[in-house]
Amino acid sequence: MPKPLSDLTPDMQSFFQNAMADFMEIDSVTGTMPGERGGGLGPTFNGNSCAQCHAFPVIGGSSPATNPQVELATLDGAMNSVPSFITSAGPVREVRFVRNPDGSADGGVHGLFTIRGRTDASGCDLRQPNFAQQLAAGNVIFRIPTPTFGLGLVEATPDSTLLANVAANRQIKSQLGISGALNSSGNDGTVTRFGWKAQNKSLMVFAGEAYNVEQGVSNEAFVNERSAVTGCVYNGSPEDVTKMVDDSGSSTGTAQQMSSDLVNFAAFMRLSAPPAPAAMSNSAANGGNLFNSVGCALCHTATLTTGMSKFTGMSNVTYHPYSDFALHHMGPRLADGVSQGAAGPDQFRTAPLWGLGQRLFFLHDGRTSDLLQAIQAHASDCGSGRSRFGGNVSQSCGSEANDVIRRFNSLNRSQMQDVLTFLRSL
Amino acid sequence: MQLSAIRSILFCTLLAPAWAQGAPCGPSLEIRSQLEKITVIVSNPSDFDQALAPLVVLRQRYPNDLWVNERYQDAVQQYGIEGHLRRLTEDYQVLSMQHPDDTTYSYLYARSLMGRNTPAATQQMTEIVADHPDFAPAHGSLAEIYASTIFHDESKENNERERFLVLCPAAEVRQRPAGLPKPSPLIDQAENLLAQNGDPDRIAAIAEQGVRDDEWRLQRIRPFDWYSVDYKRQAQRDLQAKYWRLWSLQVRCYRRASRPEKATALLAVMDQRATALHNSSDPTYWDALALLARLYEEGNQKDLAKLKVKSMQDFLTAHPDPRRSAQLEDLQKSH
Repeated sequence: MPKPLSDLTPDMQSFFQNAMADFMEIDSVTGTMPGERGGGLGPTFNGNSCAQCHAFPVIGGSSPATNPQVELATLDGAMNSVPSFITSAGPVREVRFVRNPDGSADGGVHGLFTIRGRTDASGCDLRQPNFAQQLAAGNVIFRIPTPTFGLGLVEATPDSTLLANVAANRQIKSQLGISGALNSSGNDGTVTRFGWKAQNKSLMVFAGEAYNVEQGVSNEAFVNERSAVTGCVYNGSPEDVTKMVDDSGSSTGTAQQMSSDLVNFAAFMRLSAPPAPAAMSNSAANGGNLFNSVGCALCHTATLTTGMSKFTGMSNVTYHPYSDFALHHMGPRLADGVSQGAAGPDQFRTAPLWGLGQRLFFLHDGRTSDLLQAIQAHASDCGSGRSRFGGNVSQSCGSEANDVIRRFNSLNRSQMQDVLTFLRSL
Repeated sequence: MQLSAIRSILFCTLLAPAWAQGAPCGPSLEIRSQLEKITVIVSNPSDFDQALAPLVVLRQRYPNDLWVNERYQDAVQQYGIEGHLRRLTEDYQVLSMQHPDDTTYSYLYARSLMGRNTPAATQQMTEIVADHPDFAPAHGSLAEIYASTIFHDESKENNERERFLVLCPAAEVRQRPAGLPKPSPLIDQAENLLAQNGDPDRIAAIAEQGVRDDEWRLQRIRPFDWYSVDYKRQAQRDLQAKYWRLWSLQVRCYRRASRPEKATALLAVMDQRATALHNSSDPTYWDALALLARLYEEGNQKDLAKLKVKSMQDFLTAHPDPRRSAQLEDLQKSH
């Protein structure tokens, strides 16, 4: 089971534990299925519970070893076929289409499944998208779930800290071709930091978007139902709300009981402890030094410090995310052709490496389970200057990590192994 | 008659709202004959659009006719699910905004809110009758609202009913909400058939249809504020209990049909569902455990049955209940 931050008050710890139960709650269409007491699933969805996909190594993590999406396709009588890119041994995935049929930019999530055929969704005839056709057209990209541990610390980190960190070591970064910029909110101009492209401002927004997009549950942050085909809408919107009367009929429950699922999801992530690193072996210690000297740590920043927080034990905390939470051009090899906020088609947020040793799938689309391959995929020359999505993927074209990966490749085999050992210890 | 008087009558007739031009207490003969030709039957929720198509066509032909619109609203409320109901209200809200001086549209919008946001409908209807005391349909609707169980107010009901019948002596105040479908008897029938060694496939199909019918029944309850929260909760619990009965029937049918692997797979799913209920206050948890213990026992899966009995004992320790203790004793004896 995931742990809460160690310095929380007993009340906050209790809130965390109860919020986790909400994170594990399974949703059905109208909340009528026994054991699936949450309501609001669909009309389109990728999962029926947060914990279904954020599952490994414990609840709140990332994709589990056996992909639950395979069984989900036909749960409760649903009539979905399992797309070719969803396999039992593969990662949990969401799908985005790069372009709309008219050629304009899409970039949005297209639910894998629909509620058609479920016993609790009589009358809904919404079909799945034609994934095979979209795959053949090269219009499909994938994202896997990001782990949620320790994200309260990330949320509590002031913009100024992140900006200063990105600006630090400017000279050496420049020599290695590393730039990097933080994504920002179009509304208030502050730094956004959650999601593969740092597109989300806060854990509340992060949870709200996921609840609506991945499970089809409209909520107080994302109020409108997606794919609201008239014959497939069974609940009023938003489907998840602050409770005026709780499940037992009381209007005087605890804050956790009266809060919406959305607030509880955000609280669970906010109050969760960061991954605990393993004890450092000699090899790992050596790998850590090499990780710094090669230049990985220029983006995968080891240490950040939170600002003042309303939550006990979260103020001025030094933590080790191994990320600068900034966007970097990664070149055509990793480019997904999707823009989100200031993040362009080949830009990604530096993936936090804490807890890496307990992840099964790497990179934004889970394309590999081999850590060395994941490192090598950071390098991507300009080549023809065109990605598979068409057009120049970035002005700089190649990956900002190219020089660092060259330096990594110049290490001898034993040194490389030490770096891998270090990464697995995180 | 003087020319100015004729002009005045003509002017008033041209400006009069639709309800005042025709008979406010019922449709014209032409409309009545059109409406009588239409029978809306939705036997399957997916037939909604097709079943309502004749009414949609009629509404397009007579967009301003009160009775055509009322009939259309009734059909949507009777057969629509949340999305249809929401669209209905939105449609009439737009129409009322497009025709701000036409009481018919204000009334129809208010009427579309009945059962969905009845307090708002009541308020709007009350404003309508205050401004237009002779607008009979609003009095009728208010009488319907005040006669309903949940918004019951006898004195207001009598008052509105009286004013309505003065304006429309031959009219009737309808009962709100319209009758609900009865809980499906099909699960009971399926259980009886199983006891009589009926065809397993047919039994499973009957049971599944029973649950689908009750899901549909719940859709006639959930979106409407004619029903109390407690009533909705109980209807949901009743349906959940039927799901357990459906699954246990399916397990038994699979076993009868020599498909033990399917029975095992379904039992595993049921077990997961029971586990998911464990931390909740859901009263079906105990019943689910009892059912699973029995099904495992019937399938000669003694160890799994014992595990369920153990879970029941643990539950009883945490939540003592003499009735459940007796039930557990009976179960243990049968083992």
